[in-house]
Amino acid sequence: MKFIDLFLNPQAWALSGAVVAFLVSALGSAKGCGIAGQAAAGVVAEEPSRFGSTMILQALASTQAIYGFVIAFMIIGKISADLTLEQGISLFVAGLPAGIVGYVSAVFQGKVATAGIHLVAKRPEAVGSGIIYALTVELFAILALVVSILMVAKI
Amino acid sequence: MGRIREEDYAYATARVRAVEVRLMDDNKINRLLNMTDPQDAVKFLLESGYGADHTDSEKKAAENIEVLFDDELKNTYNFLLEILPSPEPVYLFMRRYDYLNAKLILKAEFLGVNVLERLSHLGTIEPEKLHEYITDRNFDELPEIFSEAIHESIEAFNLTRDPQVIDLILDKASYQNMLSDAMRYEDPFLTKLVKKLIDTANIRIIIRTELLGQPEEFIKKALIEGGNFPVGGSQEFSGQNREKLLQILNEAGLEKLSLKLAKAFENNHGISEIEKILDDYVISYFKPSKFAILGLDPVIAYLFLKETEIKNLRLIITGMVNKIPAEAIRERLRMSYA
Amino acid sequence: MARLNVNLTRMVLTNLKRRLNTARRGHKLLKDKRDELMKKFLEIVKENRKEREKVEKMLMDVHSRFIMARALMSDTHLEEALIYPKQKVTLKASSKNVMSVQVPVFEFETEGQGDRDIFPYGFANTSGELDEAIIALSKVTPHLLRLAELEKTAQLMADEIEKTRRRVNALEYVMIPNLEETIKYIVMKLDENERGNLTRLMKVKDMILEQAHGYKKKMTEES
Repeated sequence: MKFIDLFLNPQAWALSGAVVAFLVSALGSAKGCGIAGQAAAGVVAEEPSRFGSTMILQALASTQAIYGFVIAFMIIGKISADLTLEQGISLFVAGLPAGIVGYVSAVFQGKVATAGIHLVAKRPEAVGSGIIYALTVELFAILALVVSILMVAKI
Repeated sequence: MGRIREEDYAYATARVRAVEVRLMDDNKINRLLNMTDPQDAVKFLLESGYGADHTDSEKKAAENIEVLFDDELKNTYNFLLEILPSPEPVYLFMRRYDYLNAKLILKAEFLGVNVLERLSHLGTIEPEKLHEYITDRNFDELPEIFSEAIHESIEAFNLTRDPQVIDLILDKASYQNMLSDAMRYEDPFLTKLVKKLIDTANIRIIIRTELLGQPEEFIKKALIEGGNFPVGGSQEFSGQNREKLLQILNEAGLEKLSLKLAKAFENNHGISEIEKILDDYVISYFKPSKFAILGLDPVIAYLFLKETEIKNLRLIITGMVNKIPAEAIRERLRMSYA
Repeated sequence: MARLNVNLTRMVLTNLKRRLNTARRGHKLLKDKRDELMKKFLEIVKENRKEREKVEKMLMDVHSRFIMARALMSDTHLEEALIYPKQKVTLKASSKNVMSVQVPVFEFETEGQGDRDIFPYGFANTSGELDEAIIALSKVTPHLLRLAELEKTAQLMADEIEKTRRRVNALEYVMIPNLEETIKYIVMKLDENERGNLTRLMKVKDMILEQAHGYKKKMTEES
């Protein structure tokens, strides 16, 4: 198989879609969680009693990876031997929203969560508002997830 | 050294945020201002966490409040060293005390007195070691800028027998060292901060030289290069220094500072007011850091806020001990964004 | 008032008289000296008080400025700034004679380029309030020296006045009365001796006449 054939292979297209959907969003989640986790550790070092609230904030950015995982799972489920080239490309495109939006939203959610953790560091009672701020970012990841699901379902 | 990404500061930033709450707010400062007994004030500071890591600090503080402040600064530096991924940015500021110690050691040596006990412990080099290095004229262990400056000041002193040259040379080198450290660290925030420090030092020098009618060549020797506005070369500071200074500040894009200084000049405020403006100007640089989530900014901001806090506390307590009217203290208090 | 223990002779009397004369003259001179010293002393005390008030005011000013500088700088920074003084002051102390009192005269010279060049520290890391303190302090120095001069002069003059006063008093109330008393006593004693001698001579004359001519009877009869 020549390299050019890869572009004409529907299964390759579909698999790349799954890769993008999971890999990119998981990278974002890892980064977001990583930042928020460092911050959480920093706060807990000073105020050990704040572990609970900071942990919730840290975990928020991990959802994007789950969404990516769902989409990747669905795309892989669609792969079969009689896939046409159009379907393959469509599946690839369907993976993009969950992947790219997932990455960006995860990173930003991580930062917002860090800010929320800083907020908790100063005023522990404000943990609710911190979570709400971070959840706003989640909305876009969810929308991207829905779009990806709809797209995969259409194929 | 590779540039450290701002994500790596997430831990440090969060820890700083957690301890920032303990900085003195206006409320606490006002309570201190209303106290009349220094003993109460010391107690209040100890309750606020000063000298927490030293067991006998209460006894020591009663004798000399400076011990308490020194310990607190030392704690702050140690705290920052502990939380930051790299010690360099903290060393950058601690090095100022190496220069201070070097100045003291040199002057004491030329004077023939012993200052070992009075040296500051806040530097990066143990005062005893530094003393040994300088007395033995063995500068191998010292940074290049530092050792050159010591060497130069020794020669200049032997030539002129003027203790001021030691200060001039080492002060200048101290700022230059900070600048080179900041550039090496490749953090734009730090570089900008050091430039601001150089600017304020230069403005201080220019205004004081004018107030005191110092000769023109003095100002040329004293000014520090590397700041935001050019010194030396074509710039001549003499005669109407103030107008010239304001104009140069405007040209260098420091309009805000220039405006404030112009106002202080107009109202004929003394040097105390101008120094407050300069200190506040540096602190105002940290205003955006209050909202930063990541990065070195909040950490360095914390250091400066702590230093300002100690400055203010020293002012209040010295004023209290010597019964200076509260008004005179209040007008000298530095701005703190805590 | 004690009379001096002297031989009652004419020579001693002459001597005493001479001493009395000297004492009287010395008393007058010392009295004049005392008055003049008092006058000078009062002048100096007046000037001293003025100078002292001035210096005290200035020192208070210096003190408050130093406190302010101290409040703005850490101990180590302040120590570093001030440990090595830049200006050297050479003090020449000599003395001058006022009414035979040796009073001190201070002259001082400052080394260094004029009175502007007095700051031993750099301006980058020190507070401007320290400059004001240093300037104020350097302005006090001449006044402080002048005050020291005046204080010492006043002290020395007070001593001298005290000494002179004691001498005047000793002359006036002890020496002169004693001399006078002694002179009077000697004169009286000498007069008494004279009279005794005279009487004795008359008696002897009578006795001789009687022995020679037997006048006694006549005389008794006559008397």
